[in-house]
Amino acid sequence: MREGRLYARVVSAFLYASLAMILASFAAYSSHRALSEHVARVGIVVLALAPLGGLLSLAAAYYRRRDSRGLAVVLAVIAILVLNMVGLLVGG
Amino acid sequence: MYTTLAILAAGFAAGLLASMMGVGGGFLLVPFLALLVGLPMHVSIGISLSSIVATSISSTMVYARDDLVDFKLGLLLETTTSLGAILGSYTALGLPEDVLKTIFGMSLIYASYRIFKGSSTAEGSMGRIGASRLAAGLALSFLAGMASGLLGIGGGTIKVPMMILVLGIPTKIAIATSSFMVGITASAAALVYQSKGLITPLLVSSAITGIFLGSQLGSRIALKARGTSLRRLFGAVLFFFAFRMLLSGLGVVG
Repeated sequence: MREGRLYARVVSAFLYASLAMILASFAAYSSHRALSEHVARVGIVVLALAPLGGLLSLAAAYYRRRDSRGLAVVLAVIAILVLNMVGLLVGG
Repeated sequence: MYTTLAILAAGFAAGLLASMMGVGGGFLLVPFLALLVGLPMHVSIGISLSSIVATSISSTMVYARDDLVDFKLGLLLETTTSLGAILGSYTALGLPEDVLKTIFGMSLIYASYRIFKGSSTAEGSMGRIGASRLAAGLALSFLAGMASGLLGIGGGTIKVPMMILVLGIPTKIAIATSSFMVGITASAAALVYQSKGLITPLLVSSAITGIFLGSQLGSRIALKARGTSLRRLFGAVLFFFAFRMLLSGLGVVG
């Protein structure tokens, strides 16, 4: 299960980036409120995208291993998430 | 500022209690935010879902490094779970506040009963999963996703017993795989709430910070506390909030 370590590395990068932004937004809250809210918003979006980033790393791992079943199932989940995002962007 | 601090405290309490019991924080965070902080149900659910993504990722990181996550099974089940979560979140957005509170209260009564009674699930044994069992697993995963999007919970209370009892997965693998799935499910639903402007970034940041701090302390306390009495206390606390939420939904109390 080498893909597990790759998945953990990718999602942890997203998580730590998001937490850094959240902490920065707290630090800037009293002096730069508008900037602070913007940074927090970006942090939350980065966090929400973390699972998608992890899934892309799984897709890459299955592709390299020529694991067609693994690749098919991870691409199905990615397609659902991406279609949801496109629907939200288009539909509002 | 008061709301931010109140959410930080609610997140801390939810993280503390949830990590002591080894469950996700959604079933606790939503009533804390809706009943104690006084946020609308839709906002509470949106904040809860965003926080669940963070807690799920941090636990999956540990499970994945220990090779406990069955990624292929989790992804297969996630195809119906994420569809359920998206449908559930749209359903929730169309439901009035009191109906959501009533549904949440009833679900919470069931969850508190299960926690109070304790786990009675037999250990599964990894074997070949037949087509009928897999179909049942996919259908139950869809329901778990619906519950997640509708109520702002992770859905592990449905996924873990389903994997053990229906699919025959060993408990440790089921918990780790459910934890992996919960993050994907919650992120799909959270994006729906986010796009409708129901997630205020600073409020979510407070909840995430509170949950992280609370879960750190909770896991340390859990190592020293007695399991059965702790579980019953937790079940009783959950039942109180379930009853209060149900009464609020039915319009008996404000």
